[in-house]
Amino acid sequence: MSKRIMRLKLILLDADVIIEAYRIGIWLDLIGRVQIAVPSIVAHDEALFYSEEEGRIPQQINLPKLIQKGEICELMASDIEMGDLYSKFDRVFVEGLHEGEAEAIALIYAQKAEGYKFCTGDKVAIQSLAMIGYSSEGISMEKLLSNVGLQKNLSHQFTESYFKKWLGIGKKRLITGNGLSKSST
Amino acid sequence: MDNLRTLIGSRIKNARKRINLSQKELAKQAGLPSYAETISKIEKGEREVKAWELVNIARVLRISISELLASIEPKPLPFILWRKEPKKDRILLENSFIQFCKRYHIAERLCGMSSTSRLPKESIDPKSIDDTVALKLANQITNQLNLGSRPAKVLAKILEEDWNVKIWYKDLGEQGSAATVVGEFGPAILINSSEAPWRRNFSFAHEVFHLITWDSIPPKKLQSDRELTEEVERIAEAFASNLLLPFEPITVAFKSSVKNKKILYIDLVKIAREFDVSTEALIYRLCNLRLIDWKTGKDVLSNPRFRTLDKESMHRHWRNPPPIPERFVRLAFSAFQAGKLSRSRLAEFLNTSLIDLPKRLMEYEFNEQEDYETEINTS
Repeated sequence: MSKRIMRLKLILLDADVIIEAYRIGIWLDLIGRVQIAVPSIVAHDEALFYSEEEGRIPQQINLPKLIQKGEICELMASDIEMGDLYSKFDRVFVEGLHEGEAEAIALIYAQKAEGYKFCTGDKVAIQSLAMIGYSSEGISMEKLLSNVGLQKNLSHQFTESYFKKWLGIGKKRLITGNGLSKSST
Repeated sequence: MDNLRTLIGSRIKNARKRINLSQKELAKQAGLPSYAETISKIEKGEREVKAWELVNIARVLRISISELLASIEPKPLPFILWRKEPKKDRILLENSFIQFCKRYHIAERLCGMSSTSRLPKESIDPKSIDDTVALKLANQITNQLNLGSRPAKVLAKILEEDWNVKIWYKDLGEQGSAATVVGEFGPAILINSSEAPWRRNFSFAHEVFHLITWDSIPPKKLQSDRELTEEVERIAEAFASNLLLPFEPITVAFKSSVKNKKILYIDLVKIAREFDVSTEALIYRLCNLRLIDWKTGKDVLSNPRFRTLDKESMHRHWRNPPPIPERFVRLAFSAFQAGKLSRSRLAEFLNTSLIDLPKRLMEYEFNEQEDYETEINTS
């Protein structure tokens, strides 16, 4: 059995979490403790650089190389799966959602990321998860790190309280239909 | 399901054809296997398109993924009226302009604002426009827009902040000067950022004429009627001159500098800078108002000493436009703060990367970590 399969937690990461993990220097520990997957857009288009401190020279994040080496895996949504997700939201709301996050949520919605929890610090992404009724498939970075014994001081957007706050707003939207397409309400 | 794939394919095909890109070139630029076959299959709806491929294709075609995936057909692109059409990359430029307008519109809508054009619409007969029409319209607009006695100093800001006109500054170099469009996103003006500030002001005023007469003199009609175009352009110039150099304030400024029926070169330059117009625009206006005669006006403009004084003053007064309009940044940031625009999307809107986003926001005096939720009671 390979080392990778031994890692029990399955986590689908958003770009902001990857950049934060690099910034605070826990990336290698993290990929050693959990099975990481990244949406293809995040891997190739979003999580490209990080900087330990503001103003410092950006360092490259080479996710495709890690994917190639089997350290992390890449999940890809199709056009139809993306279309299915977009059709859940109204036209205005969906424009605020970035494609990388949309791909992660589309994968969850299409059951193509079964067993994975989506870890993000983005307000719109967290709400979206709740709005499609998949609140339980999300996890804050703080909780993730705490679960694997990597507690760190994180920026506010990665805390559990922040995650819960926006998840709550998303749940309200699910009830009121605010931001959802007419066919979904 | 297959229906959506066919729709995506035909939208990609339409957008590709609009920018005259071959299937092979699109595949290459989008990082797909560089065969015409790849795109051909996608356009016929015969091949699954991965999400990352969609992103890359949409970027090359300068459209949004949501437009490709929408269940309803997007509206055709609106007509763009150029003052001087760029010879190179016109279609790409137009697509970028429309993309900017759409993003701006998204920021407005996410903030719950309407993008409807609030600019006054003037009904005029294109066959009977003349200089008196230009003067009448300029006076009307000065009053309606509350432009005051130095209109050029406030015009761009008032257009954007009070009248929902989107302004996009783009370095067009020597090619092209300005363009106007009215779409479902409202009215918008494209200004060549490499031009001098006073020239940009004149372009704004000129384009306002097109916006307020957009329905009376449809831009498509202008495209097909050269004679009409020339006349309308002449009237738009007269309108701009009247708008930026209103009769009373310019007469007062001029006369207060005249001593013994003479005015110093430097005072003419100072008046031009005070009104934020070029010295050419000022001199022509003074000639039109018969405050100086045409021969004197032409002599002044060709005088090397006058030119030197003008040039020296330019350096001191030169200012570059903001890379991204402040109102757009403000709306996008507000939408982000309210949890309506994702951070990655905000970075995309502000033409920056995720790690450079804080720096870009600071340029506009916004700080992501700041608590902007503190309130006061109103009476």
